[in-house]
Amino acid sequence: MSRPGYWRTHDLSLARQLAAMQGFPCSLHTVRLTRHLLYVELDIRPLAESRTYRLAVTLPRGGVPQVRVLAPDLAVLAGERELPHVYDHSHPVRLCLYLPSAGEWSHAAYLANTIVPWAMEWLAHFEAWQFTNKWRGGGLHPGDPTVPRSRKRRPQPQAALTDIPARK
Amino acid sequence: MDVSSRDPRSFVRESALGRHLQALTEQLDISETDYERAKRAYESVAEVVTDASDPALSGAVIFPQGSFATGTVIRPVDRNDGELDVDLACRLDSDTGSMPPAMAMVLVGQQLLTHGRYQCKVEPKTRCWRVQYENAFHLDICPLVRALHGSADAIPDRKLNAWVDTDPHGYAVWFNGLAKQLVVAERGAHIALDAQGEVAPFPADARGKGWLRRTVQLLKRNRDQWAAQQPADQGDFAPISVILTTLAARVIERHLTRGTQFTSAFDVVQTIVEELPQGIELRNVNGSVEPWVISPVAEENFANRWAHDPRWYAGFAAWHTALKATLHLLLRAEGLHIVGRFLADAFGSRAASGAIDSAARELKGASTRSDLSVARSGLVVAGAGALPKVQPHTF
Repeated sequence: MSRPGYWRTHDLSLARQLAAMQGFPCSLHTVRLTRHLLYVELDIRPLAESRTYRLAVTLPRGGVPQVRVLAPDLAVLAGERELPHVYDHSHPVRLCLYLPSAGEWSHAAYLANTIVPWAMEWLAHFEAWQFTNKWRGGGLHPGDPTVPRSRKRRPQPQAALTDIPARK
Repeated sequence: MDVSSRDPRSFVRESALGRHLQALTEQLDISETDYERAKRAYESVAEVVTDASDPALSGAVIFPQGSFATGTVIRPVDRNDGELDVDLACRLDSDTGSMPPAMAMVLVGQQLLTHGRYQCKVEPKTRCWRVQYENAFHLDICPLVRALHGSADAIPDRKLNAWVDTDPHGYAVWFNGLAKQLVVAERGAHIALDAQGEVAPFPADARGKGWLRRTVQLLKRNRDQWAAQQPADQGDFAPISVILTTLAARVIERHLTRGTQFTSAFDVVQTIVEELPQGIELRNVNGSVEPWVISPVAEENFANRWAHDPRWYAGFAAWHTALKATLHLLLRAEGLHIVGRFLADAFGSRAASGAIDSAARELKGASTRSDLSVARSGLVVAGAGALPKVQPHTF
């Protein structure tokens, strides 16, 4: 499947990533799989008592995954407050889910076991934050003294939402 | 409830709501400082009364009654509005045949009044003496004697100038017995729920307080919250604590007899709330029907004021309807923040914030410990057995 030099042997193909997502206990809405990009829209409920959120997960081949919240509009829900741990504050908000430099995610990890549950955790903390004004999810901000250097750079977008193959 | 026919998500939801309510009741507990203060005041009053030189007071026994005896004390909604009260009984070594009711009041009262420490802050109430402390805190001390007929004890009523049947010690024994039996039943439920696989376990109750006591705390706090939101002429007719405590325990008494298997802590709370009015008896008194809330241990009607003013029953009914509606809303809430808002309306914003914050901390703790899994209902902490754990990460 993967050519030597392009993928390391333990890296997962986009097709296997998708298969794992299909086994995830949530409903997938839009799925686009090309040679170079996996794009999935899915509805998740972070906790049994949570609301439902529609996420867009993008994984370019060899790139880093991105998770955006398509609905509801988190910026509107946050109101005057600044959203914690996001890459940008405009809709659809892109969630900051892991330290890219700390090896918390690699191409050998299934999105379904990492990025998606992490987004669920983020959203559960977001719901609590909306009520208590306290962010209990922990985490580091770019510029924090303990953040490994690469986190301080704004992550290079590997695929923006506009790169997604258009619906037929 | 039939466990097998239910949607697993509603199960986990109820289980989660139970945990939020548990965290909330922990916010309702009085602080260690208040507890120590109450304890010191209790011990000091006991010493003053039992130390008396008056032979009529020799052999008097002091014991806590009310919410301290049943483990259902709650902190006041706020310091300016509510007072922490401690109730205690002083059982004199006498009986209704040999002591007039007024005499019992005087005996205990003069002991408090002649003692330098209490002189200026002691006042007589209908059935007790009140010692008022600084910092919104008072102690009510009721004189008791043995009843010659019927109940164990009798309490003097100043307005009636008569002995009234009562049994505060027997009441506490009855209530605590039910609370304890329910804790044992909860342990059984814990095992039953684990066998369901995906369902989070019934919350472990480290302090063994149990859901009867917790529910009474919730009822009392909700009553205070409700009363504060009503116009004064309605808020004043909110149901009194002993009525809520008795009706709640009556529900559990019936279910323990039937061997009901509660499916979650929320199920316990909801069952108690739904069935609360079943403990109100309608009695035909001299041709008119009166609602009674009868003591389980004495010929004592805790709702004795209800017959004289219909606003008491109306107050109970209005409060009860509002609380039932709150529980229905909680079950349908979509979002922790919405759960938080409903809890804040019903139980106060401080307690609600504490509960939601504790859920968020618990989630973070589970994530750090790699003790979080994804189930069909969403993220679940522990209890999920075979499900793979979510990898730790840093936001």
